[in-house]
Amino acid sequence: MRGKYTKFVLLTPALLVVLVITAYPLINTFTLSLREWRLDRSPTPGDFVGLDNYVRAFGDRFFWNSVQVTITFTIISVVMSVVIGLAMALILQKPSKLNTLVKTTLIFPFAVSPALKGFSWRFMLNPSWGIYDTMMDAVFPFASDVVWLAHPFWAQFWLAVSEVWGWAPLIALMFIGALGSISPDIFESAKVEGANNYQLFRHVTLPLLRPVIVIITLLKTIFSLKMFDQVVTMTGGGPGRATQTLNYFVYLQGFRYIDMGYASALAYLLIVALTIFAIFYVRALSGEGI
Amino acid sequence: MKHKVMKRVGWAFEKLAALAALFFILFPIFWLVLTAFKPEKYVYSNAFIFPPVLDNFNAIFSGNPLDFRPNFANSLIISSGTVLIAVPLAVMASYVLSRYAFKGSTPILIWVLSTQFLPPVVVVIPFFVLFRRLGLLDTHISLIIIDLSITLPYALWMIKGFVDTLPIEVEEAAMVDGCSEFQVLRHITVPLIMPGVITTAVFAFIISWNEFLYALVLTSEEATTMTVALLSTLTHRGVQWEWMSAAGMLVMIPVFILSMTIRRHFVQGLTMGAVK
Amino acid sequence: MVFDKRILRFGLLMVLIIAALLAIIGCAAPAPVPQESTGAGTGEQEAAAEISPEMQAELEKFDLQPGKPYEGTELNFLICCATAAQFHALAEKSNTEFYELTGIKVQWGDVPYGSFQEKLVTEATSASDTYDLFAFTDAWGAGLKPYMIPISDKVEGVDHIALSDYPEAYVQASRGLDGELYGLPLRGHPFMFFYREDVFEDLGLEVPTTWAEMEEAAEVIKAETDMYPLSVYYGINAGQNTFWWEALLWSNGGDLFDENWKPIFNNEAGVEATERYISWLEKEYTSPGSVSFNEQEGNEEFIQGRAAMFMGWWWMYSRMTDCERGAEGVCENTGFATAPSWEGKGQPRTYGHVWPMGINEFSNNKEAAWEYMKWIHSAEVQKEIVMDKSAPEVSTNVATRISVLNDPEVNEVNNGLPKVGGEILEEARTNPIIPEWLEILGILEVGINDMATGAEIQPTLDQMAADVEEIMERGGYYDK
Repeated sequence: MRGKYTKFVLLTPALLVVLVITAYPLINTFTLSLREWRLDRSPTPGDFVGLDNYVRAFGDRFFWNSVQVTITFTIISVVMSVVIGLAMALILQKPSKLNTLVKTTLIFPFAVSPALKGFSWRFMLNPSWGIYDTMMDAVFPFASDVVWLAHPFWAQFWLAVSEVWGWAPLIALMFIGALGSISPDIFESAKVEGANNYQLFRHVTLPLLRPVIVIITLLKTIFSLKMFDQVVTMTGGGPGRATQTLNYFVYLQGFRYIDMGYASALAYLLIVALTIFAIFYVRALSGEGI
Repeated sequence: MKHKVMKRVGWAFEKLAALAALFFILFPIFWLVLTAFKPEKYVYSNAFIFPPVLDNFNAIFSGNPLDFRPNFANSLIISSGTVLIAVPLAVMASYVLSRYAFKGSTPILIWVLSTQFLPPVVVVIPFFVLFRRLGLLDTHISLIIIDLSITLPYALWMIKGFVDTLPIEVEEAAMVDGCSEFQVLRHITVPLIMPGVITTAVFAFIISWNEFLYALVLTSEEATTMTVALLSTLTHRGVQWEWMSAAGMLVMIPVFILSMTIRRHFVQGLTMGAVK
Repeated sequence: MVFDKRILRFGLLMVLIIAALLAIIGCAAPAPVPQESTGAGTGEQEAAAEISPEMQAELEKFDLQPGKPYEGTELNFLICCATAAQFHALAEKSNTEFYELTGIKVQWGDVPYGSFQEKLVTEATSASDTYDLFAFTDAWGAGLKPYMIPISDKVEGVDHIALSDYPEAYVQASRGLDGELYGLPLRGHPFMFFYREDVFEDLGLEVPTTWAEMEEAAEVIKAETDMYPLSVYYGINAGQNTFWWEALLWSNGGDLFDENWKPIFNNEAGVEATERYISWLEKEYTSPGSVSFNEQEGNEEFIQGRAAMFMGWWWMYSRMTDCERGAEGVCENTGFATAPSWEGKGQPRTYGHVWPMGINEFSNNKEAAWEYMKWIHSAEVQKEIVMDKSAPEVSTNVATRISVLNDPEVNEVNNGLPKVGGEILEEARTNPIIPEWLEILGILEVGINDMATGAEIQPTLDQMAADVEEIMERGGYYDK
């Protein structure tokens, strides 16, 4: 009896905190999303307007633009992170002094605050004196005419690169761990059968890594959908609306145009999108999905 | 002979690729650090050679024109406060979740995990409204509370992972001796997983330290953290990149040092044990 | 589970190091407190003593209440940018001179400029008494005015503050839609034309008075030098790319709205002005980078000697004339003039940018705050601030009162800049003071950026107008 009670005491505080901190916003945002509330008109929430805010979102082409931006950004950043991460892992898995050195640096980019990431990449991409801009111009002749952050596609691309810079090394670290757990015998026997490096990778390594790749891809997708800080510090949503992700769009409506009702409705639509991926992720983790 | 050449080429390619990776990883950091020591004049040209100065650090600490000391302190207070609350709570709860597979423990764990998929912008709107009503905007406590929403679930999963690895026999023996669960936890389990607890604490500290959106929305002056204070290098005259770099260095360095200490568990923590 | 003890020790060590680092940083600079406490001491002594005749004269000059009725009050002033010389100087002066006169202490805020707008709106609308005073840029004002007290009557009662001594655009921006006054112009900027005197002289060019003349000069500069003739900024950043566009639009007789709040910037005058604005990019008068530049980056082109003409706020003058900063030859050759006009269409019209300052409706110290307003908005204080060239961090040319702008002494120490600024402001306009303005500005700046990056002009303007109309529709402007 006493044991049961202790368990309860130990478990409750943490769960209560998590519950309050997550359930409260979920419920509250939902009720706000059903009301009209413009802070510049009234300091307290206004009337219930049913699904008006949601209806408005579906008819708002800037909302659809942000959905499209979010999808593009997510695809670019996920693909690049996973591919580059895997490539780095393959390069670095062989034991050597240089590789050990590189491996120790892998966590650094991720540890850099995303807000700072955005700032420093914007600095390096400045068309007049940005160091990356200068380097790109020297390497690719076409680049000298391109103003990276003024071009819709390139702005999305570089925004993704700043994200990939943090994630690819980390993903490499994950893959190195996974590669290390593959038994060397498998490679040996494949080699004996005359497989070359490419075949080895294509038919042995890749299939074995598949579960890890799925999990990492889903995880990165979720984080890409949540990405916010760099948009503020790197592009401010521009050029045009080319980098206004859904997250940023919600922020704009809520904290710049102070339309809390509309922002809440938009936020809820974002939750729906994330929930779908989260379900896949949890299923993949528990091994049912694969 | 041909085989040998191929091998050489392969070797060179491997080294080059590793160096390219190193460049990709370190260059932005290197450039930021370099800029932090540049006199203003050299910032707007890609100079690698320049007379290094400490002016920029002076500019952001002396109060003339900027003073980041309070922001640095705020970041420390908020991150430490978050850790001090999150970690003990997480230890207690994860102990139960690890040791007693009761009906509902798996759903609880999945629920805790899934809270991480909640977009921060959703969390921040109602809390902004709430804190505004309570007069808690721009206070340390409001940020500590909301930072718990991102640190506590991580902490819970991480520590559970560490408890899971402990053999249960020791605890059982103590239990037979008449210790209560609480005593077992306090005197046996916690000391044994102490390294794990510290890893978790460091991890939670880093998450909270780097947090930006909550601080941007919930603070204005008194409780502004370093990440948001970076925005004051965006003066009404535009971004003063050399100050931004100097301040950026101060945001990065503590995190670098801390993350080195938990390098091995970094991935595990971030993915809540999904990828080891 | 494998765990290295070394890691643990290292971790603890690092915590100690960081703590020590903080302690060092914390101790390194002397706190500014002692000076203030000295101030408090003298304040008390003087309060106890008889009011001296000089003091009496000072109080009367500013119309302040004698006998320090608000002694000990501390006012909180929500503002950004302690780095701005004008604010730096004013904050300093407040805590010496104003404190001595009234015993009121004023705490100037320093919100990061990058997040100032959000802060201001959220603070003001939170109906809290944390801050007594707000300063805000005109564009953000309309949403704040319901949370500030009307001051028309108060201003009437003060002799030394006359609204006629402020440029009309500034006063308009300080009013609400109801015509009531909610603030007084604390900081303001005319939109000026800057050019390289040496380049103009070498090429025998005259300072342009019309856009056509400016374009002619641009052709010459483009042909004869390796500089860009202009530095325009079409990037997206807080609506900065609309300033120059509005100068063209307005000087061409166009406008944003008609009297029924219908957007009309896509009419003939609007299209013509926009085409001209974008054509400078196509004609390579300005660097291709301009499409992403914000105001500061555009200015940097000029400072680094890569462009010969620039239009921007007058406070940038001190940056351009700072010889420590720019490329050789820039600082001593920066000339300024009024904005060009549209050939054959009368006066130049530009946007006069202003930061009004007002009192929070929920403040518990409204009377003390008004005392401060009387002091800080006096011509006397404004003049002293722009005359003070004792240190770079306080030297500024920013004043808002016409009498100060035209003051010969002020012009003498400021290169005549205030007078030219005053001339520009006579014809300056303000943007619509409506809560929807920020959202509209978002539409405008994005549209302009789109057109700069290749979108067709007429369809884009039409789409922008449709979007703006939708915002106005939602705001209820067409209900009647």
